[in-house]
Amino acid sequence: MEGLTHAWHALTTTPAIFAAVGGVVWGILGGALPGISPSITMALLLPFTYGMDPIPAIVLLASTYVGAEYGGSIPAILIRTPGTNAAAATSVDGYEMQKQGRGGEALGISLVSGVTGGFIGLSFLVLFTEPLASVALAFSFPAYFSLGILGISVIASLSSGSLVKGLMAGVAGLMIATVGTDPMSGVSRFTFHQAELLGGIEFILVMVGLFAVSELLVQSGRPEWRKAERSQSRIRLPKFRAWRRLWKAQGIGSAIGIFEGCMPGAGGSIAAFMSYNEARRWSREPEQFGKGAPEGIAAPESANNTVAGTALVPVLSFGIPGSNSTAILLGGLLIHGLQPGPLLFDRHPDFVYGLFGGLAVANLSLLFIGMAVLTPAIWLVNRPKPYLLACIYALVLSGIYSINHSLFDLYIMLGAGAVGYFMRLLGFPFLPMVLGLVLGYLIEANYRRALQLTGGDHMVFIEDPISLGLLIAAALFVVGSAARDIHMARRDARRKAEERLASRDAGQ
Amino acid sequence: MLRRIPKDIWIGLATLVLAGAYWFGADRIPISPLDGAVNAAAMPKALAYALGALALVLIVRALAFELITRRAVAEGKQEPGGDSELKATDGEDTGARYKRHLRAAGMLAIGILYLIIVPYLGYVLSIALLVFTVAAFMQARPDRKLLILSGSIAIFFYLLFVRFLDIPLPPGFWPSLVS
Repeated sequence: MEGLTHAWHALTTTPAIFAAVGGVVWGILGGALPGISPSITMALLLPFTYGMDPIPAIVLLASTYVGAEYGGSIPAILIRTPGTNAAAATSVDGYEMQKQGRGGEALGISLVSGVTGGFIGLSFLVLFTEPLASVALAFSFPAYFSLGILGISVIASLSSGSLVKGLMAGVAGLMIATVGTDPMSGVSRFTFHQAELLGGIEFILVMVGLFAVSELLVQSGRPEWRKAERSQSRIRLPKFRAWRRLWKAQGIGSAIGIFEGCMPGAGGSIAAFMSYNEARRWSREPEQFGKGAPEGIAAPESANNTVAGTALVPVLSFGIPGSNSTAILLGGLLIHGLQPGPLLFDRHPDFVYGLFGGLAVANLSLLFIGMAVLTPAIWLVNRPKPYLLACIYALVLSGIYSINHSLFDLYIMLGAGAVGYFMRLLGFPFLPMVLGLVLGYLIEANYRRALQLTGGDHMVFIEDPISLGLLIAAALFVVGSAARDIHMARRDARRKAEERLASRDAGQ
Repeated sequence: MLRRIPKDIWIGLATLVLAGAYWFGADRIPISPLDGAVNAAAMPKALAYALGALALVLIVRALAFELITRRAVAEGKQEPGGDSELKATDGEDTGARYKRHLRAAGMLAIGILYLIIVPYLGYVLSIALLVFTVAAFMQARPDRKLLILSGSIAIFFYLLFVRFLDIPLPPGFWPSLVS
């Protein structure tokens, strides 16, 4: 009841409702553009949240995530080009329905399933975040250090690509976090006599560089995406009878979305594909999947919108993001001086419940805005790609400059963009680097505080039972992932050998 | 002997150099009287060791991968071919790949050029030039329509940032002309 009061107060005394609606609109438009993922859509907004109050700022980012998950399904259904990775599963049956002249119906199913999943995810978030966060009350300095190590290990293990490269990216993120004035002793580290580096490298610069600028660099070499027909811009919401047919698929999608959202490194894409497969497995007409089955849209769309809610559970409880989008959201929290964890609920209940209230408004408004914004979204997708990318580049450069009025920041951001491009090229995941950067201070500060208390005795990390448990979990993740890595490397080596033999045979 | 060194070995070697340079920098962090049991260089040095160790693992992994591949090829009673033989199976040819990287480098260069000119030409003109150049670079026709679009976007961003959000963007040399 107290939470409801806080939420109502936040919604009525701050511009949180406008932020929720604005975030959903921005999210749908951004998500609808092929190549512009929810995390990029959020990263583009991040500079604008600097000057805002914390509640509308974070509601804006979280609502963008909600909107982008739906927005990705629009080009997936209309032109078989998923706007987001998570919408790839939707394109299978969505585009089939579109070819059958049922594109409006497919979009309606996507929207309704997204809203359903969004509310289920939000309910889980409201019910379970605070009890989980209270677990962290028992954490000491060594436990917080080990929690940071666990976070990076898990993300590096579960990210796409090789474990070694994931860990290397995590260590590189931690290295970037050491730049600047050491907060404990006041000495400068890696500043190269540059005054601009004394405060450290702000993670927003690295995030926008890695996600947005590197995507612009990648997109500059890709061909124009396909265009949608203007006549396709009418949504048909499913009637009650049709809705009943979708309940089971939506339930499967939401259940998987709850699980995957809380799992670090999983995210909406895996949830969407898993729920698609499960919905087919449990369907009475599995043969219809791939030929325009409405359940083939309902399950993945419920799943990825559920993830948009449940992915916030580990962020708000422990400060450990599980995906790129939630890493941006964590960046937004830290920008406003909000440290996730149990104290967030004690010290800033107005913020936490305001965020929950804002997300409820965002999910509700998605139903109406999703219909209203479809035409502008199609118009935007149909603009020439060079114009769109030029506008995004201008927005990125202007937005980042507006934070500190510093051209030096822009050089760092472009540098991060170049690093991001090479990381994509060489198969390094972004998330461990971002996580290393965001968690760098938490890890180092708690490491040094713990050793300060014990006069430099490292046994403290093993003697503390929570710390020990977290370190064992981190080690298990790394060892398990290494075993998987070795197995996959052997399989790839065999495949490569077969390819070599085949190409040699073909040459003879 | 390896006919062509695998990519991961190059990455590992470059990372080793990076870890060494970072360790060198960490070693030069001054000791402060405020340092407690752990000084400000301890974590950076630990990270340098960790990155170096991971780079070595990557190199060993790449060598092991190559060894397994060659052994599998040898079991197929054939002479192992170099990686160059795989080019035919790669989806994209080398020329297209280089072109793609050049386009990315060009895009980055346009951004750097913008940063060089913006203090002199001011925000509005520089951002208009940026939009025009990026769009033209991405093969939009550099016609009057693009010129109008670039100008409109520059004015829109000026109104958004300077007038609406009250953010002082670089004015360039224009105010000095007026005064």
